[in-house]
Amino acid sequence: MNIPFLKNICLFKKKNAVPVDKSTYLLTPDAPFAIAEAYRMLRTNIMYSAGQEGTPIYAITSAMPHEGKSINCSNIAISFAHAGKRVLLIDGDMRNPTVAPLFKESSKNGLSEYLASVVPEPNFIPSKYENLTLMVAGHKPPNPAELLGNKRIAELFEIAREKFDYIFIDLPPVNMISDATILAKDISGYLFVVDSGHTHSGAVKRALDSIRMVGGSVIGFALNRVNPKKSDGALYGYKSYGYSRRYYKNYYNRYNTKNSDVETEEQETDAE
Amino acid sequence: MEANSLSFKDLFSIIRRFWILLLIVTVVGGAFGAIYASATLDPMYSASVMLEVHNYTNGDDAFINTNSEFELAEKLKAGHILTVTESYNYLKEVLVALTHWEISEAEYLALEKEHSENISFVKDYPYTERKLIGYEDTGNVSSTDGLPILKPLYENVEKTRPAYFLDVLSEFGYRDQNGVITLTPSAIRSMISISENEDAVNFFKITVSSTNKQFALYLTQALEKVLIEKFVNYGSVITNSDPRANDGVSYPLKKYTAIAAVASFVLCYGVLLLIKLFNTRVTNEEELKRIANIPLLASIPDFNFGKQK
Ligand SMILES: Nc1ncnc2c1ncn2[C@@H]1O[C@H](COP(=O)(O)OP(=O)(O)O)[C@@H](O)[C@H]1O
Ligand SMILES: [Mg+2]
Repeated sequence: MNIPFLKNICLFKKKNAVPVDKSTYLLTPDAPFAIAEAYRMLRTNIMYSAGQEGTPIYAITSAMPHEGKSINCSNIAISFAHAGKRVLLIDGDMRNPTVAPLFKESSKNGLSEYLASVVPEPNFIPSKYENLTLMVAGHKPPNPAELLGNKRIAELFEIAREKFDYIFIDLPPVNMISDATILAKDISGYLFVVDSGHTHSGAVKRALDSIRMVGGSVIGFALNRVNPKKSDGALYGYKSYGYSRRYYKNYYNRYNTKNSDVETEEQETDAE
Repeated sequence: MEANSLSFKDLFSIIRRFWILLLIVTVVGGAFGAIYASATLDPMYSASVMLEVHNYTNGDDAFINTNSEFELAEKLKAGHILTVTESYNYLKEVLVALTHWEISEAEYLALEKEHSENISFVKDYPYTERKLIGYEDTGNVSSTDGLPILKPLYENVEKTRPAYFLDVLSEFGYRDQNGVITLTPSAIRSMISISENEDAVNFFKITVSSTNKQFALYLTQALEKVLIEKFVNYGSVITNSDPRANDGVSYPLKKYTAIAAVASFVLCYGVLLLIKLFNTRVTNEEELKRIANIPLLASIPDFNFGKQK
């Protein structure tokens, strides 16, 4: 359990020699092909999962800390913005805010202030990425879980839905605190990040169970920090574009057949 | 700690992913086995002699010890032609008797006395071997198959041989001062093997294996000689080839190498399997699929991959 922590200490020591600015991990137009391709694929698959009309709200979470929720949430948001969608990226991890430092924005007047009714209106900050709007975590509150359970969150989403096509919210890890599951009823779907080679399957199972318990639905996994060299070739989704889409469809169909078979047919033809 | 459940596919994926390691471990293990065997084990030598058994009807009653021998002798005297199975079984019987030390001391002494002028321990002594040179038509016809009965013709050949079986054992220290054999019967029997020849039905091969080349050779010769003594009264045994020991050492090297190689492979594979079994960290799509029926939307590469150096 402590291994990600230990590993980060090691990384930190390495960073002393070559300081790494985390914002360099943000998606840029000249990102390496494999990375660009991975996010393009992720975007496509997420778009396919947006069945209903209206602005979907996707939450990015994981079982444990440091699995790469924040950086992937930001990159997904950037990727959608690239595609011309109006995107709002909310930093829902008020305990460990990352959007502000990543995008080099002020961390003041963010989500916590709005939820605590310190400010009447949500503070949407336009980013330097076209179509991408940010909402930072704000001042670190003593009771983040309570704040997220607040009615104001629904109001916030209502306001945001008017203005944006996609809303992404970066959440704390499921297995550590309840923040991520409190929002379940307002979330269209969770994207579950798994740190390849570090997260134990038991931790993933427990996290998925707690999401399911509150009625949340997980749209899919994102396997993070994959070493292309260690991978078993085609087993890795990003090496073969077709893979995930196929799995996604299976899943999608499976869950829809519960409601109506006709609807599944329609949606599949829509997707084609 | 919870362990993974492994599928059949995982068992192969271990080989596929770690085949180089498995190969190296197997080869190194096998090499160690070979080195160990050649350093610690005595080389094995084997000596063998081929015997050719022929029917011979003019025997007398000497050395008939058992009922079956007696019956056989009667049969032979009545013109019975030794079948292959009969010859082989008889040969075996003699060997078993010998190696159970059922040859009595008196019997042995009698044999020794007979050759007393020639036997001085293991030294070679001359003997006369009858060699088949052809057949003479007796003019009679077999009642069973109607074929003419042939009488074998022999020629005497002068040869030399070492002393008897027990002498050989004495010479190599396998008898104590009282003449008691110190080798267990099963030990000596495990050295000796007789084999039938599939193609030439009346040929038998006696093989003696030992870590002592001389001993293997002498024991082969002694066995051959005892058998001749025993047989000569019923049929005849003619050596097809002189006893000879193999020059090539036959270590149980191959066996040890193979065992070591297989053991290394199994051990290495077992360790890899255990590691895999207890490593519950998720690394690929397969493992995710096993956790839940949720699609993998993408694999995000390590951002630092390829940038390290
Ligand atoms: N694919 C990746 N390659 C390299 N480093 C990564 C990757 N994903 C995340 N990281 C690094 O791991 C650390 C934790 O990531 P972060 O997104 O803050 O995790 P979380 O929000 O889950 O706690 C950060 O330093 C981040 O830069
Ligand atoms: Mg984070």
